[in-house]
Amino acid sequence: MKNHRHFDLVVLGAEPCGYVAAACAARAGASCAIVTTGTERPSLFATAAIPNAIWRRLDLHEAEFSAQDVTAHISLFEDGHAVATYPNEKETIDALSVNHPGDGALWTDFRQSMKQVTAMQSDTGDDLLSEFEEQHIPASMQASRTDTVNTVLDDYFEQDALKAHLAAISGMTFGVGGEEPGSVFALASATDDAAWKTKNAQGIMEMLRRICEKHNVVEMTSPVRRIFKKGRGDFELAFELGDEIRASCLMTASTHVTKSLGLKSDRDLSALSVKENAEATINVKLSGKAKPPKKIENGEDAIFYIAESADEIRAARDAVLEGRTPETPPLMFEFGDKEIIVRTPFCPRLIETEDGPREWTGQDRQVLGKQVVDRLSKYLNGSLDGIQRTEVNMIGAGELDPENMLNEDTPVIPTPVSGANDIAAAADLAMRLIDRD
Amino acid sequence: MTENFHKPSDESGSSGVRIEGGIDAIVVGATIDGMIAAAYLGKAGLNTVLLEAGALSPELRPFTPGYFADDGDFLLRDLDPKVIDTLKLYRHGLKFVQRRFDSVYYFSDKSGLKVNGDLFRSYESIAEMDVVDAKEFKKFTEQMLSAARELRPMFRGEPLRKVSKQTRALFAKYGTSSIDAVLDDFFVSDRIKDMLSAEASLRSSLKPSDPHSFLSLLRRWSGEAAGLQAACSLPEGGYGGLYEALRRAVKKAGVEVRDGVGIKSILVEWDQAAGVELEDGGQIRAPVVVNGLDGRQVFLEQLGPKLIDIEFHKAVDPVTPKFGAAKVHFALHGTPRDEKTKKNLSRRLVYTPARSEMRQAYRMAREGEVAPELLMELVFPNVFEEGWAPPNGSLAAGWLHPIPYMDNPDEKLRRDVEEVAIAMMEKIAPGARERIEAVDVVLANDLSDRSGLSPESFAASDAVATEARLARVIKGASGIGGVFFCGPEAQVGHGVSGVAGRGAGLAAVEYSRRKGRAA
Repeated sequence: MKNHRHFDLVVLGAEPCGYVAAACAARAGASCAIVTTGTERPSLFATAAIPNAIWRRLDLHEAEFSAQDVTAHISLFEDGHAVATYPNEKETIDALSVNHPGDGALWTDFRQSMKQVTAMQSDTGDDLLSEFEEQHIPASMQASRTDTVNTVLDDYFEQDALKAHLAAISGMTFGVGGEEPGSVFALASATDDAAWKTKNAQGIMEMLRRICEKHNVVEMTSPVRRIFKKGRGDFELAFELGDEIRASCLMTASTHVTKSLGLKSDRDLSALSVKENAEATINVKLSGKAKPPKKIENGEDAIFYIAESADEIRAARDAVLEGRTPETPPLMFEFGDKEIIVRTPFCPRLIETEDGPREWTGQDRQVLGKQVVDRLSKYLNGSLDGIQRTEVNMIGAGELDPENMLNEDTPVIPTPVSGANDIAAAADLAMRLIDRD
Repeated sequence: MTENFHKPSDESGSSGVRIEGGIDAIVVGATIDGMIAAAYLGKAGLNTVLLEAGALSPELRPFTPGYFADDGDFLLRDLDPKVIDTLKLYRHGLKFVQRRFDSVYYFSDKSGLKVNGDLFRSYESIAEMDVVDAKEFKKFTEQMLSAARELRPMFRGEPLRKVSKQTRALFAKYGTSSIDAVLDDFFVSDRIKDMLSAEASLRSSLKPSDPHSFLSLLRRWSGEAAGLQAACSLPEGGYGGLYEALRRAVKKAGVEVRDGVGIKSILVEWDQAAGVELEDGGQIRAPVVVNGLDGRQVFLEQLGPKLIDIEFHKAVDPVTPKFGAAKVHFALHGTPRDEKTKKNLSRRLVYTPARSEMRQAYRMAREGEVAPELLMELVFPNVFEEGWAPPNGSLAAGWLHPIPYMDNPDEKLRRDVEEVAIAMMEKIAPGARERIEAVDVVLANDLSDRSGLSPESFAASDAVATEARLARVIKGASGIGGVFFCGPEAQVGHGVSGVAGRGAGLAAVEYSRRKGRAA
């Protein structure tokens, strides 16, 4: 039995941003389908927050759902002190001012300048070109699109720990080392208001799924075998189980999905919009309740970072580019009930050896797991008791070229611009696509 | 024009402040751009004085008996044809001994690839290696060369006028990309990728994986020398040959050249240039001052930080560069006997490390070390003319990249660079080690000592987009009427181009005319 259904919009990638894109389009009257690709990032505790505009558009208040927002980004250091930034600007300034009044005083200026950067729209060359077509460039050299994370941080702040903290947030979210020209966009996106996440990713996924169901979004769970497009005609998708569907518009949920499927995108995905590296997720299961260090208030709903200095982030990125695991992997983690989920976003996709690159082995994963747990317990000062087991999962590791999908006539597929908030980006793209036809 | 000017006194030994007047324009620095600006001013009938501080000597430098080194940028890729035309440089003795170098790339797996010096035809050479990629290569070079041509004003720090649809689309997609990402989109063969990313990386501080590094390739391919886009040519006498031709053009334009005169400051009165104060305390007064020295010297020392905008201050006083390139000269005794090697000596030889080796090289340079595998570009000028090496010897000259940048390098860096240079030479020509008589390593601080420009001027270049922005801002940003700038920061990327000199010269002439009319 062949299924030849036609949809207005098909979204690849059953991630929260994919569901939101499909739901928004469906609510606007389009017939939609969402396709599970099998390369989605596993949902952790925190996920991109749903922007207010989308909350209203989908009437989420009817869904009887309340989510706890992430309360802080906290960096821990070996000597025991911590640096934190909060969604509330005043709270951040107060916290920073305790030890370094200068850094606190400049925080507002820093945010202002980062907003300027965001307004430049990160990753297309269009704006860059128009910048050079214009007759006049203001003499001010501030907020240039080729700035690096590290020069901007050096410009504004004095405290090395704060620089390490901000380099960690931007580096680990976008996979940049901090010295690439243009990496300032990662800093701007990661410190944007819209970048604050929400806990209970599971709950959000379920809610979004229900909403999609309500609006008759079809979910396809069989893997996609091939994607065609003939001239200006429809996209055709063939699935492993023999189904075929057609779509007027096709999009991916995020740059991650595009890259992990090896699809051609309408934009270059390398320029800060996607990590070239793999990422490891390590679940540390504990016998008792996982607790953040005592002296940190409201640590349960915070996201923690471990990177001793901005240089450590750069070194980690360099290691990844050379196919090594970093000597001291920078970590980000969250506390669950009886577990801690740790992510090390700087892992090479393939490990370089003298005989050429090879895939990750079980042993590599174990070594990494041990390295991570050691580092974690050192920074948590022994409050990491009763580890029962650790699970290491790799995302995006291995060869990146699923040949069954990518061939000469694989069409170019629109991909949301990666920025502060993936959900907003996906919803924007979906609305733009169905609007066009 | 000024009519009643008095001749400067020649009693240079006399004490007391000497003030000279009756001069329309002063050009500081006999750099290539400085000389071009001076020649434009002189040709326009302005009474111009060129103060010869801050330029590399046009003389070849003997580094071991019989062998000579050239400290200037002698491989021309982007000499502005308008400058050649207007200043009649061919009539003044500019000659090319090699108009287009064919290139031979040596890869780390010991294979080699010869590529036609005319990029438009280079796909034919690629076809011998890989038919699939040759087709792609032809498409790629045609597309990129035409985009590079259209974007040329941007690479010269000028506003763009018209950009075609194709180039617009290319730029929208790849304008901020890394060269790695672009090459991955086009090619399968690792060798082609290594080769093109080497071309983009040479003397650039951007790793091939860094965003914005793709534009470095377009910048490199945008120029033309000896009439062919993206080719590279060697003038007779190297850098000195070009220098002498320009110097004759300067003299012909009626410019007075004064040797070895440094300046202390630029005199500013009522926000307008009033002349310069010389190191010996004397003054030369003129309403136009064109400066070809580096931005730091010009804006922070000669004009003074008080006179310039704080944001602009930041732009001319950037953070210390992290990467540099070393100039190397090899003295080799004996001449090759077999025809194949002889032929290769008339080509441009490029040792091209693999992608992973390049990454390692950048990382190590960042950490202050010299990697075992570096990118090396070499030519043999003695094949084309005498005077570089004795009759039974050869002189190889070129660049080694990337190495750590240091203001004051220790002897260890010099030794390490020399060692790697020899190792790379051995890879290009097995057995060459025995024939090396001497190696001459030139680092940024050497060039700084020999020219009077800051060592930063000789560091690896920043992202093209950053430099293009700076170049556009720096030309007019001092805010002081009559001060024009054509130093290294006014240029995008490396090498001799002359665009900055022409730009500053024309702007100064225009300013002078308008001012004359107003008065």
